[in-house]
Amino acid sequence: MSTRTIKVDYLARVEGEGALYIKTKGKKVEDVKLKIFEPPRFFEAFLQGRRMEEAPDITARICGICPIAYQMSAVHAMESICGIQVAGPLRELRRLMYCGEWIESHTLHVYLLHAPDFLNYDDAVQLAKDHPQVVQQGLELKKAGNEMISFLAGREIHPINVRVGGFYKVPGRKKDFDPILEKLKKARELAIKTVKWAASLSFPDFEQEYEFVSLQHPKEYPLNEGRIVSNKGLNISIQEFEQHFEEVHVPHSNALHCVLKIRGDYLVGPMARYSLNFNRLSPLCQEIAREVGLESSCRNPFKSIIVRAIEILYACDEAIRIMEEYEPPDQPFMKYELKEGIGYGCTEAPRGILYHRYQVDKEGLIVNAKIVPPTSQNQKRIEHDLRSFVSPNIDLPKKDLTWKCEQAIRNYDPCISCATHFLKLKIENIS
Amino acid sequence: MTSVSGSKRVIGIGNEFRGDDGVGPLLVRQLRQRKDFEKIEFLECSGDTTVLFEKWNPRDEVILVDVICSGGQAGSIYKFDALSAPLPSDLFPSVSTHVLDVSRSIELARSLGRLPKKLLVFGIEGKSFQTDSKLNLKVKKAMEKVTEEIRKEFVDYA
Repeated sequence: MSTRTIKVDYLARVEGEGALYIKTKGKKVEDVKLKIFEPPRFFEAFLQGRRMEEAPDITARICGICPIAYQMSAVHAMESICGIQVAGPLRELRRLMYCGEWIESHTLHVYLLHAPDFLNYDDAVQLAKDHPQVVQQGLELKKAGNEMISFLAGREIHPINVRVGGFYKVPGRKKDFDPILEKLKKARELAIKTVKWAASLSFPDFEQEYEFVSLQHPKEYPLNEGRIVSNKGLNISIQEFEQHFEEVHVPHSNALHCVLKIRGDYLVGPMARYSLNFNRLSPLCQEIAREVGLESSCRNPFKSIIVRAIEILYACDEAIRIMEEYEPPDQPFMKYELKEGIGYGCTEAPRGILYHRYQVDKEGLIVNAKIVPPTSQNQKRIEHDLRSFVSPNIDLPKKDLTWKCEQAIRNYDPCISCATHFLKLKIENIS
Repeated sequence: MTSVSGSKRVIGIGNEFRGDDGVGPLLVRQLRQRKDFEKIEFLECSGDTTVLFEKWNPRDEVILVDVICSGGQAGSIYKFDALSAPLPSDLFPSVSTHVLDVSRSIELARSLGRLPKKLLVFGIEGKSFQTDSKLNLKVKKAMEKVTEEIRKEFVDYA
């Protein structure tokens, strides 16, 4: 019985650095390892001793593609310690900003990182040679998201306008949004085309049984708020996260694997949100999803490209609603008093739930911090899916199977840079 | 200012807080202050280089200045005519897989028919990219030479 080893030493088109190792014996998959060798960055450690107000600006540096997500989870956690809850126009502005991030992050992945796989191109540059209009469409959509973030947050990368309690500055009039509003209306039309185009791609038959985990809110598609739920009965407050989930260090990865204590691996991100919250999508999104034949639950990770496209459409739709209904707040931020305590924040980054927990002393200094990014929560599930994916494709030539495995990993849009922010380092000297 | 014949633009690419990676933006800021370069438009690009082509129009003449990270001697200067051939991608580092580096960004522009009338790229070999470090002296020296090259292209022959 022959043994094959497939090694992809450097995964292209995922954020950060990672490698894949699969070992087979005959037709049986013996071992699968998603190896992360991005250097850990110790954010949880150097947050200690910093002022609580610095948390959004420091944690935004964990990721250049989803800084808003880190800022939102951080400020929610700090606000829970101070006993305030941002509501009204300030809450709406936070949702609006998050919509901008979803648009630009999801669009980048759909068009520049994922689409080449389905059309047999090495990368988006090659795709653009034969399909310039498709790529141009994606770039216009991404630009709309970037401009939304720049307008509200000061700049696209590492935004500067988010603070505990709200913002440093907010638009003073509804008509200030007019230029952006027009762009988002055009973006919404492009998003509809994106859904229809994504749904026209060819997908392997690869339905999996997942435990989907996401936020759920009584009234809205989740962005900043909600309880943590799953399709297998989990329904907890965000404060209970660590009672049900734990991070485990695995030898082959710098990133910690997060698992459900009682059931192991689970999936966060667009498929989870969509499958758990379909009836909270806007009517337009539900209509378009039905039109393209996407059911209210999606369990094929290759079809995540369609789900991301639906979420781009939702983000455009929701952004337009917020801008059209905008009423300037009395103040750009809520006042608060420094308190000591433990605070929790959990918001829906483009890739899934992002959990923050901070302990703050009476001086307002951070005593300790815990950050669990979505990609570290998905890693175990990605390995599980690869094990299932490789088995029926085992007879493919190695080059083809390697390419398919890479594509399978890209289904999850892993942000490996986020997932390696922390590691307990033990040095053992063997002499 | 954009005329019927297009503008002359110099775009400095890089992060000023990352040592020699800041050579592009810092050069641009120096030249912006000079009267002899007053007819040139100067731009900085410190973030996403994926859509560089949005910083120029088809009739423009453009010079890009960026750091090179090839392991060569600090301060070495490379000059490329990006209209005639793709840039060697191994010279221009990619800072993230979520953005296109300069060489691939130019190829994307080429695929989409978005190249300007003239596109020169100056690369200066950097040595240190540590956070908040100063420019290497040889890199600083190279900035002077690149300034003269830009003058020859955009001022002396204007």
